[in-house]
Amino acid sequence: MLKRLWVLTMLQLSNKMKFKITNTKRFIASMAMKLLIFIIITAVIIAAFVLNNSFFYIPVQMDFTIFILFVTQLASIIACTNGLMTDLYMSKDNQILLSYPARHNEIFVSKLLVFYINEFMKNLFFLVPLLIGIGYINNLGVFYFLNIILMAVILPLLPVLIAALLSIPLMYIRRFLTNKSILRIILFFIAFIIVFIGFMLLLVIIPQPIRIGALFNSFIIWVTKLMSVSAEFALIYANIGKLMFGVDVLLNYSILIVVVLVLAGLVLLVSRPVFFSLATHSSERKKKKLHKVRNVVNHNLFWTFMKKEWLLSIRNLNEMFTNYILIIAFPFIITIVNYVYVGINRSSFGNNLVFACDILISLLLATASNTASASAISVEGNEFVLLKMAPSDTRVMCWAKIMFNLIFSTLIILAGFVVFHYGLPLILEHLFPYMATHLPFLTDIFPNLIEKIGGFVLPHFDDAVIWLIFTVVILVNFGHILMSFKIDLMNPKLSEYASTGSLTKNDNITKSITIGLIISVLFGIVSGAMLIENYVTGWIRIIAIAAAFLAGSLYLFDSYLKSYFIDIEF
Amino acid sequence: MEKKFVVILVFAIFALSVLAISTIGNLPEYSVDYITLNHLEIIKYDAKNLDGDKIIYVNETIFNAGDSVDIPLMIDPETDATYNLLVIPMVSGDLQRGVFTSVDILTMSIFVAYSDIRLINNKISITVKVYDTYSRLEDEVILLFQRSGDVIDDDPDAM
Repeated sequence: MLKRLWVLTMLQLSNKMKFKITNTKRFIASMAMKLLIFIIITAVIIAAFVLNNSFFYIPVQMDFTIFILFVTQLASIIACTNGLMTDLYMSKDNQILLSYPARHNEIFVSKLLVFYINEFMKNLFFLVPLLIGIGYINNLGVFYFLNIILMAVILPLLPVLIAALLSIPLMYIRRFLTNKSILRIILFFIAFIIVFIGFMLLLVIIPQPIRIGALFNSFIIWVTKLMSVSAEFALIYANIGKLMFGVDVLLNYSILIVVVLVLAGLVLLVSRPVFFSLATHSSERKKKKLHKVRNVVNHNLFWTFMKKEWLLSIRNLNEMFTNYILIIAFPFIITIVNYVYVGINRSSFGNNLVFACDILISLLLATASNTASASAISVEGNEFVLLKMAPSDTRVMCWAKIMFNLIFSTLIILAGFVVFHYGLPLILEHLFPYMATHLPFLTDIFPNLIEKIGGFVLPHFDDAVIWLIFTVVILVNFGHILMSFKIDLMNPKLSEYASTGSLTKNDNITKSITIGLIISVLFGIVSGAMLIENYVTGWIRIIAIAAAFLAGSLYLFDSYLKSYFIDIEF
Repeated sequence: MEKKFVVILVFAIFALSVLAISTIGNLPEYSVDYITLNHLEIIKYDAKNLDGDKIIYVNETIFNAGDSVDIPLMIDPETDATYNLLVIPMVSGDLQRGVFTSVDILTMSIFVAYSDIRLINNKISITVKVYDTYSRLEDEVILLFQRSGDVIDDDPDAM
């Protein structure tokens, strides 16, 4: 059994790591490099703690250790749960592994072992240097450093075991939501609005006008108290932190061992039997066609392709949502950002910085949402050959795809600016006073919160400025849509998409986001410089540059489309 | 590059822009609105000793390193220039660095955190002095682990 477990684990690990030593010198060099990286990370962490002791004065003590352990392990549990849901139950290698002459239990345990080793490696380059840094800065003894070695082995067990348990109910929820796109979107929007209101409630606590210097101490105190409070709720991680600092060592070690054993027992008793049924269950065949198939004659090629894009989008809301998620978040993010900016007593120089930052942040969100154009041809996959063979000028298809992306993103950006300018102030002006009068229990959560909500000051901008920013964003965004499409036009990933059906790790999308980022930063810097130099002519010049950028992108795209579309092959 | 990275970048740019606007983009006259205080007082304490020093007992609140005490303050006039206040912890020997003190203007209180376990194990008292650098007004309080035999004159006026 152990041999089979070993083979299964190594088989899966070999997909992610290199084990065979073909060149000894290269192997030694690689090990030396890893050791050097470890030493550098440790040195950087120690330097950060020394810096903290000189400037920030956040106490790096037992509570800090517990807090860091709790936060990092929570992140590990989330990452492991997501990873295990895919690797345990949805991975394509299940079909191969389950056909091997091995028990299902062994495949299950081998998958957990692979995750454990990954977690161990991650901890080795982050958590271990961090714990060494804490020990060094506190002059802790040998016992503490010996404990680090033990914890490096024990700590990765906890997120893997907890994630294995959590992945079962979450997998059932995922299955339930698989074919319910609208329900998923509604749930997502509810979560989104809760997060937004949470942010706003935190923001109204900050006294206006915002003074960073005066608030610095309050922030440090808040962090210190947060660490202290979280240490009380850190469950098993509080025991780990205490035993490392020599508090009730035997008792805390006993608790830790019992917890690990109970978790392992639960995983074997609960997860293992469910594994086979979930891993062999597929939802593919459960998909139902909700639309009726009918032939409609349309004489305009452009509108035919536009209609096709529209139908594909509404039938696959998930993908549309994934593409435009950042632009949907735009009105919320821009309101939060501007609430803080307006809270600072700014000079005219500061005002210009605000406008430049608004342009930069808006463009970052808008350009990162043009991934649909960066994969527009690739997503046709096998069908592209059929489309291209049609006896007509099928280049029109590209313009239809661009137009769809342009109309959709422009409408959402417009909605974002309208909501930012008119809608959100109305909602907040009514919602917050309502909360102030009808939800007095909130005062128990945040002292004086209701009073502050009642006096909530909304960000106020000059009308013209909002629409000037909007104009710049729309022009640059259109230019970026064309650039993104050009990337996919030059190197479409038709065969990759046809074989995997996935856009994960698509180079064209990565290039589109990277170019968008560079353009956003450049426009942010140039806008800031021009507005500072001369406010009135600054806006004219920024819009002129944005229009020139769009004209250039349009010309280049049209030229490339005429020259290269015909050469695209599967 | 993924969208997650863009989200992180937006947060980073936002944080940096707030720092930039509040340091180089704020109104010049706004940085120098220091106001001299007329009154500065620690308003909440448990007792006064025979010398009239204010005392707060920490037996019930401080158990582990990291535990803290909030000491309410009163200032007049109430202003947002309170960050001119200095808080100085006075502890014997090398344990000075084992105490973290600061003024929280949101709650108008002094925050004292015990970050060295030796202070707690050896029941060492800490004197915390609050000082306004412009008016030179000051007040102080002793944080005490009460031991049997301590002579304390309870102040009936204490809040």
